[in-house]
Amino acid sequence: MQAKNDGGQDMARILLVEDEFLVSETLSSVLESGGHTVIRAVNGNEGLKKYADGPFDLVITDIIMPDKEGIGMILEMRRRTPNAKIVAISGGGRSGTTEFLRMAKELGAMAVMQKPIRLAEFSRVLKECLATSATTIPPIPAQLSDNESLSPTSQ
Amino acid sequence: MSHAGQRGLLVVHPLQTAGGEIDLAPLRAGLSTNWEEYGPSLHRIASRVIRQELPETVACVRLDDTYRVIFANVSELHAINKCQNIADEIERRLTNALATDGTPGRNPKRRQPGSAANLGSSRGILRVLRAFLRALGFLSDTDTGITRGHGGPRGESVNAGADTLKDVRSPSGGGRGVGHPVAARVSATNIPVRAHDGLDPKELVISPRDGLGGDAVAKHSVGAEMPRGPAIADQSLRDFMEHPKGLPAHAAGRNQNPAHPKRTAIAFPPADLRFEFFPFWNLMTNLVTAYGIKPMGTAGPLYAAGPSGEPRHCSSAETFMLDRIMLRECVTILESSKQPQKRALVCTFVHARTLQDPTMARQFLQCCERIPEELRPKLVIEIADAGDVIRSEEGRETISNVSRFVRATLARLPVSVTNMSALVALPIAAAGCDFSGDCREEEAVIRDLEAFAVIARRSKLASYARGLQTVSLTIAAVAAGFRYIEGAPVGRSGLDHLLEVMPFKIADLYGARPSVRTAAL
Repeated sequence: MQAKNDGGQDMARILLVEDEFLVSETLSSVLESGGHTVIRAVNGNEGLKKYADGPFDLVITDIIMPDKEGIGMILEMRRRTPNAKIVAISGGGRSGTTEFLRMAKELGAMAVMQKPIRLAEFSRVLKECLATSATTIPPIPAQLSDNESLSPTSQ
Repeated sequence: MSHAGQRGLLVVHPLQTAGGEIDLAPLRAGLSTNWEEYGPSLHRIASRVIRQELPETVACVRLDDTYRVIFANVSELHAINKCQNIADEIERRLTNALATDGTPGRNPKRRQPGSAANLGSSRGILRVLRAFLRALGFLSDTDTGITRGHGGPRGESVNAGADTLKDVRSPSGGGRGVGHPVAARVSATNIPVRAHDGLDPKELVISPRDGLGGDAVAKHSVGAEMPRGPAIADQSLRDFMEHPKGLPAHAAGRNQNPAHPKRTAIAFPPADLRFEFFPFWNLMTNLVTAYGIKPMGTAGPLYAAGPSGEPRHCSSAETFMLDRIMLRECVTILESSKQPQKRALVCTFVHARTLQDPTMARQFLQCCERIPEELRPKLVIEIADAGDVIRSEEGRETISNVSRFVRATLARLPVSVTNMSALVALPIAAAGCDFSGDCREEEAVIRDLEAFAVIARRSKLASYARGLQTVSLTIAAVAAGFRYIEGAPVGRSGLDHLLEVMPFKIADLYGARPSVRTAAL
């Protein structure tokens, strides 16, 4: 039985992967004020390392990050944990953002959010994701489930 | 480089080292008593050339009039060739500047600090140097051109009779001395490494290894040819691209008399020269619509990181030769790819050095003129370090002229560029930058990518990014708004799939389906 916060919500262990310090700081303080435990990482590689120390109830990740971006990280996490709960966020106004978020959704992200993030919406999405059963998450597309195809730079 | 720097190099590469020397002593002798006054300026020119030609990781120390260069992990042959190239370049700077002196405005690019034309306010040094170089046969009597070359074009009146080269290998084994104002030779091989501090540069030089005679150099390097693709149907075009008029045969990459014992070693094009083609992903159409050529050697890419892309240790004549060979290769590929599915464009590049030199620019344009009409709509030329070229009126005119012979012209710029407005008036289809070999943190590269895209958009130019090594950088480039992306995650193409237009989407970066990255290799 998970502990509950003041609002009666389950207190969760959340991995926040975000390279922009201000965004990370803001989201982290919102999450912590809700009684959740937040583990932070600044890129996909670090995120995967910390994910291995899990378990986590939720992963919130940016898409555009140095060293390993969000989509690759989501793919890797879903391969490791098919029912991982993930929320993807990405910068607004730049080209490709919609495509990235669409792809994150295809890869099984429970929710996607475009920056700038409204805190009210963030809180709503957070509540929904934590309340949703992990069994409803669709599997990753078959063409992306092959582990060997994960390393394009190795060629 | 400091002694500490040399020590660092030697410690890292303790087993295979080779030394070469670039010696200004013949210049000192030729200038006699004038040396005291003008020697420092000549050394400035030499140092500048050496700095430009050698990567920072190569140790170089000056001892009196000799620059001693210590290469790691290269053969003696390689070392002497590099030193010869540098000596060539120093000579070229001197002779070009002297040849063009007295004709103001003809070549203003050369009137810059460190050039021979600025040796001093007095013209005396120029007279003395001219007389000296003329005596050696480096300047023609009329001073309007430079006679016979040593691995490259020497102005407008290059003498194709390269067999008369005065190169005489030094007794120390390989290299040249007599007959050249700047000498190059092997100084040492397998230099012993001393672990303790206080390394004296003089201790770096030991006796050269026996057996490195001129024949050995000639055997390995003279007449080296690039691997050849299918024959170009137009024999005259092929001949011209390999032997442009006015260039010595050996400078054009083919040697007419490889057995000549006195011929200077030609390190370029290297015997292992080959080409790889990298697809350009067009973000507007989500297709691979072009393939960019890159020269490669066994040891890796034959181009440097950054906007200029100039291969290390290569003189301007050699980079010109490479430009010509790449153009020829692209024409060959286009000629041999007439299947309906092979509709993609092929993109070659030309170095700034080639377009900045009037003679070489003219030669390059003549090569372009010979591209068959029907192939021109499928050929794209990228101007490396275009920012440097467009500074002069001649450079801008050259770019305009080049663009007449191809489908599109791209401008490669430094990633730190802050203004692209000068490109707007030129026939430039897109501005881009190359991140091949960029070793910085990805965070810094992403910042630069975003800034570059913003500046390009401000000038209403399409932008492209080349040489992106990771998916995260590629994703960042997509997000930044680049229209064309080339790099490892997009893949490289095998010959079977070369010039095929292929769909490519973001998901393909993660292996969503067989793509150019997986299917073409």
